[in-house]
Amino acid sequence: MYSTSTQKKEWTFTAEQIDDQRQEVNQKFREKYKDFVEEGEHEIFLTCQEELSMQRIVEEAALKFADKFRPSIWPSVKWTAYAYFKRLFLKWSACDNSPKLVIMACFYLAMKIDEFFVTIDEFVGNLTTGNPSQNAERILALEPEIMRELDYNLTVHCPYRPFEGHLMEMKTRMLLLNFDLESIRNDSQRFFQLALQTDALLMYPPSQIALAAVKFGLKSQGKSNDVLRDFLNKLLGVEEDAWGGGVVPDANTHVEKLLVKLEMIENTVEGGTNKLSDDAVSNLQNRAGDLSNFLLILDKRRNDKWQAEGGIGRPPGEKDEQPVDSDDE
Amino acid sequence: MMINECGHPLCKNCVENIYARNSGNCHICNRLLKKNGFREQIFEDPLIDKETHLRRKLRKIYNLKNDDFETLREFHDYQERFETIVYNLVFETDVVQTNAEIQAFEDNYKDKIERNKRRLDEDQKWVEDNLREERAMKQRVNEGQEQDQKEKESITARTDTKAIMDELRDSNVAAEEILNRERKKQVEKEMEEKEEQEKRKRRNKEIFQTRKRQAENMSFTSAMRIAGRPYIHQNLELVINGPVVPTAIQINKMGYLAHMRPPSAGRVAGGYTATVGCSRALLESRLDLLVF
Repeated sequence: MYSTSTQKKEWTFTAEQIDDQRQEVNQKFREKYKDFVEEGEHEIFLTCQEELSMQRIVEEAALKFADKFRPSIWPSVKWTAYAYFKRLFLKWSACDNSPKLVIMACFYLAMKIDEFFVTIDEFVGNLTTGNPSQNAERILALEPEIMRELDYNLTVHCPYRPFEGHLMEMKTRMLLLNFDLESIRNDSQRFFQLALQTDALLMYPPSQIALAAVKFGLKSQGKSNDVLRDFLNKLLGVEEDAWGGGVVPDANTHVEKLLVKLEMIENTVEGGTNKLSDDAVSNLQNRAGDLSNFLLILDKRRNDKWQAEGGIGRPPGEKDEQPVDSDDE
Repeated sequence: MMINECGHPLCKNCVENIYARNSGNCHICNRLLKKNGFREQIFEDPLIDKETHLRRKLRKIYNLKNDDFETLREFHDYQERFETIVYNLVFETDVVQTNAEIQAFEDNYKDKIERNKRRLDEDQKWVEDNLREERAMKQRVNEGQEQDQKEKESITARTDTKAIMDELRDSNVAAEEILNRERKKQVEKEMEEKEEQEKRKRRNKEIFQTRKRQAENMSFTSAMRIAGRPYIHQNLELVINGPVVPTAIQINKMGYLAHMRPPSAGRVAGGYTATVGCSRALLESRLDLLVF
C-alpha cells in the first residue's frame, strides 16, 4: 500500500530537493579530487546538468532494450527498474558509476523483485555489447551494492494498476460517453513511457500519475477537458450518487486542486523529455571520454603524491571493502 | 473444594454430610475414603492437584540424591522411574503393582532414605543460601535504619529534657505535676515501642511462613494463568486519503465486473475472483489521490 510504503516515506521528493541532491552528489565527486586538480582543469568535470543528460541518454536507450527484451517483460518491471535507477543516481554520481551498467543491473534486480523469472544467462543474452560472462559478472557484483544503496527498499508502486482502476471506474460511472474509453489506452501507455524518462516517479503518488495518464490520453484523442472534470466530480462526491456516498464537503476544492496537480504532473513529464540533438549527444560523449582520461591522470597524481610521502597506509582511492552478502556467491 | 486421594473434588458441606461417620464411598468412583484424608484443593485442575499431592508424598520416600548413585546414568534411570510411578498413580494404572514397587523400594533403601531426610541436595542448598543472604541483607538494612532512628531519638530526648528544664524554671505549675506528666508520656512511649516491635516480629514470621508454603506447593507442571485485560480486536484503520473504495457487494452490483476480463478456471480454483482483482485496482487508484 503506497500510503504506508517506504516509497512515500523515503523516496518521494519535491523538484527542489531532487535538484539539491544532484548538486550535492556532483559537488562530492569534485571534492574527491580537489587536491590534485590544477588551475583551468575544473572545466573538464561534468556539470550537474551534463550528468543528468547522461542519465537521460541511458534511460532512452534502455527503453529500447526493454521493448526488445525476450521474453517480453511486463511494464511494471520497467517502472521498477527505472525507479531504482533514479533513486541510485540521487546518491551516486554518473561519473563514478557507469549508468549503462547500473541500469542493466537495475533491470535484473527489478525482474527478481517483480517475480519475472529470468536467469542471468538469459538476461545477458539480450545485451548487445560486451561479452556475456563479463557482463554477467559485473551485473551480479553490482546487484548487492544497489540493494544496499537503496536501503533495501525494494517495493516500488507502479501506476499501471491504478490506471486500470481509473479506467474501470470511468467505464462504470460514465455510461453516457459517446466514444470507447479503450481508445485512450495507447496514448496513456505513451505517457508512461515518457514519464519514465523524467523525475515524475520520484515526485508523485502512482494514483495521481495514473490519472495524469488518463488526462493525457483524453487530450491526445481530442476529447474535451470536461470529460475528466465530470469524472472527478462523480468520483470525489460533488453530488450524491447511486453508490450511496453522500456529498463530500470540500469536494469542489478537491477537484480543483487535483486538476492543478495533474497539470503539474503533465508539465513535469512533457517538460522533462526534451530530446537532445545528435550534436549534443556526441559532444557529451566526447566530454565523458575526456573526463575518464583525465581521471586516470588524477589517479596517477594522487598515487605519486602518496608514493612521495612514503607510501604510508593504504593506497588512496581504494574503496572500503565492506562485503555485502549476495546469494550469487 | 475438598479433595481426597482419588482426586474427585467435593464441597466442604458435602464432605461433612457424607463422611459424617469418618469413612464412606467416593460419590464418583465409589472408592472407600476416609474423612481425614480430605484436604483443601489448591489447583483448579483436580488432576494437577492430585499430582502435586502425590509428588509431595512420594518425595518423602524417593529422596535419593545424585551422590547416592555410582553413575549419573543410574541416577537418571531412578528419576525416570520416579516419573513413571507418579504417572501410574495419577492415572491409576497398575496401582497394586506400583504400590508394591514403592514398598520394596522403601525396604531396600531404608538407611539411605532415613539419612537423606536431613540432607539437602545442591539446589536446595543454593536456595537456602540465597534466602539466608537475603535475610542477612535485610537485617543489615534494618540495623542501619534503627541506628538512624536511635540517633534521632537521642537528639529529641536531649531537646526534650531541655524543654522540661525550661518549663520547670519558667512556669508556675507545681514541679511535681510536670514531672508526673513527663513520666506518663515516657511510659506510653515505651509501651508503643514494644507493641511496634512485636508487630514487626509477627509480620516477619508470617512472611517467612507464606514463603515456605509457597516453596512446598511449587509445581512445575501446573498451567500458568496469566491475568490481564481480555484482548479486544479492533480493525486497523486504513488511511486511503482519497474517495471511498466500493465494497465487494457494490462492485458486483454496480457493474464494474463488466469491464474485467473473466478469470481463467485455474485462477478461480486458486481462490481468485474478478472482484478481488477489481477491488485491488480500485483501491490502488484511490490511495493518496488527494495528496497535494
